[in-house]
Amino acid sequence: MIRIALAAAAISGLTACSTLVDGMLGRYHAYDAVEYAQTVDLLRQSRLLVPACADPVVAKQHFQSTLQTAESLQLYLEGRPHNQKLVEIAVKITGMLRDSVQRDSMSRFFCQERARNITQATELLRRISGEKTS
Amino acid sequence: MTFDELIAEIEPITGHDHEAIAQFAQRAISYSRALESGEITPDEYRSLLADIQDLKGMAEVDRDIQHIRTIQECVTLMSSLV
Repeated sequence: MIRIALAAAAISGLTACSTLVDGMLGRYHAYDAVEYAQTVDLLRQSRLLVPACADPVVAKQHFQSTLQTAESLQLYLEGRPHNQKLVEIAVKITGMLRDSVQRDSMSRFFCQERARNITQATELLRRISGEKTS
Repeated sequence: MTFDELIAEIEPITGHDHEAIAQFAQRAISYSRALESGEITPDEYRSLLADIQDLKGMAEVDRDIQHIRTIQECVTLMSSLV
């Protein structure tokens, strides 16, 4: 019984230590329901980008509305502590969306591949956001 | 570097054991073929190349790719086309 208690105390101590080191290195990321909901919404919109590329006008509108969602998420992420990793990814996603919106025209291949790249990045963002480290 | 030389260099990587690396190589070939066929402009190619760089950076941040150097080699080869 004492051995079990000692082992549990040791594991608890190691976990606390690991969390402390993560925090000191800026890796600590506490789960936040609002943030996660926004990443899910961005991913939902991103997944609609590839089919939208079939029509250049629809594609442009969809890139524009997705950009607004991404910018809003980026602002929210920047306002939370220890979120550098997510902010870096959000900045890249916003950059890809803004570049797409600012183009006078896009070939269908480019539109679809850009959309896939944005979706891939957003999937990563959603996954990290959903990780509970606290 | 010519398009054929690029394909010869990157094609073997598409069979890489690490799925993420194989996918990056497939993407590099797909983009290069689109450039060669005129399906995308050089500017669009450069932008997609930048996307790959960004995704590689994100993978580094997330540490979910073991062989970042291989992808960087693909990107360097691709850059030589434009």
